[in-house]
Amino acid sequence: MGLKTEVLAWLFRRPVTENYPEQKKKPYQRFRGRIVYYSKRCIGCRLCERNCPVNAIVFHEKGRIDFDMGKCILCGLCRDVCPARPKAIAFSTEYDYSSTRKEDLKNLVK
Amino acid sequence: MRVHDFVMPVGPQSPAIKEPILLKVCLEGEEVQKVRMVTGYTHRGIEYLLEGKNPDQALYVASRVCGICSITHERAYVRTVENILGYDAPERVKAIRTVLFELERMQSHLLWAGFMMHEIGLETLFNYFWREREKVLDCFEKITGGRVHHNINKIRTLRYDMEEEDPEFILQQVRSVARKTRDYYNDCMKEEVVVSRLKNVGTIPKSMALEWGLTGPIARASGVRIDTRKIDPYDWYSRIDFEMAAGKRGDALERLKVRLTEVMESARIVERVLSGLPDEKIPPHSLSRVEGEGHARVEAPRGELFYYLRFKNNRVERAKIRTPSFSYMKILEELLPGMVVGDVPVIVASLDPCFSCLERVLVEKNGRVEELREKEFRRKYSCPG
Ligand code: SF4
Ligand code: SF4
Repeated sequence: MGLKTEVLAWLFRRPVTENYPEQKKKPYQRFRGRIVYYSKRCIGCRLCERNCPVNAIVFHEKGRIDFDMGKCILCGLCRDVCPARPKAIAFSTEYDYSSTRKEDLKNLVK
Repeated sequence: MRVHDFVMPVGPQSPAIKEPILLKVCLEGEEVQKVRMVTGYTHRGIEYLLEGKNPDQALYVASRVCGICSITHERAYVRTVENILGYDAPERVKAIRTVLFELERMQSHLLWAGFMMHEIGLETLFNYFWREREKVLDCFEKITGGRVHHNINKIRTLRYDMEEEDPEFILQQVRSVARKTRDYYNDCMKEEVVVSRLKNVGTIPKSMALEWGLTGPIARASGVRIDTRKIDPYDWYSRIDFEMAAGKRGDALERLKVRLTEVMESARIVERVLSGLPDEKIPPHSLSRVEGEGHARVEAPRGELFYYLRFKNNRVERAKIRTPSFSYMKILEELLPGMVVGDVPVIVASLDPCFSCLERVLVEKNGRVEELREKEFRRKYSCPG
């Protein structure tokens, strides 16, 4: 199919773009979005804090850890190293958490 | 040298060049007389950031050198570390790495092709190329969990194995991308606007390409047959038979040809690898201990990417990254004189420069470029070493 037919055909089709934010694309299951911290599962080993490449994790005590989502590069290393089973760190599929206030840039706690 | 009365700054924020670079273009009428290139707008000190990180952390910093070829940097880093460890990954890991590597090349070249069309004013094709690119990004999101930064490679293994339905999904997407790319390729080569705008623009003859040590699609477009996948094969490239795209004239049109041919060839490589995907388990991930030094290279979408790493006490002591853009950007100062000013953005874009890859150490003050050795640089700009 040449370019001309392509252009003509797309005149009568729906656009491929979506009406964000009214319509949100559902990410795939492996998508790494805002971090979820399961405080009950944590054993307090601090491995996540020690391995984070950008020091986005502040460990207060077992069951209370802050993840600074403004710093986090969503690499997933903290989840990989977490020895708790099931893992105390998971990624949600929430991707649009940008904010103008620093306080909003926190992880989810469950 | 004559002083030209009119110097036009192009960039660092220019509607024509999207990358943060400043070209001081001396003009005589429409004709470019002399060009001086000023970089340094996206310097992040990434090699310094790598220092002091443990091998697993550094992988994620390395993958953020570039936003377009994240897998490439991961792969180069992992190859270096695996060279140091003397480790040979299982076949399935290698196969999946090859697939991801080629997907990366496809999306990078499609991004570039769209960008090139945008530069010459064909917005429709720009959007079409980028629409195809979305399909590749969908593959990435499904397999790795990231659209831009994939972070799937691990030292010795991968973070995720492919699910059962993944190969089918990738094949479907990749075939559709290849089919469309072939259509657009044929159209581009027939289209008067594209050909007249790109032909004999920014020509790099073979001798010049050799002299400048160019690698990647630019060198191949000038007729230099060089491809790291062929001369230093890794993963499955030695097992898989693939064609090296090659051009002759070395102008912007040839570069477009070579890159689009590579997209189609990558699709074929992906198909071939997926048809022979071994059925085995990939090793689980664990933290690594690395000591010593090593180097490795891979073929990034833009050319040869080289990594040197030295580890001490399980920390990165020194990292040196030589990105493909780094080797060829200076060629602009030789390429642009004699061209008309309207061709400047086209030539810059046709080289596919990546400035966040490029910027390492270059100190420019009051129009004077200082070249410093590592030790002097550290002392002067107070980086504790
Ligand atoms: S995902 Fe990476 S950057 Fe973010 S908190 Fe975890 S280790 Fe740190
Ligand atoms: S690695 Fe896991 S278990 Fe250890 S402190 Fe972090 S969240 Fe808790």
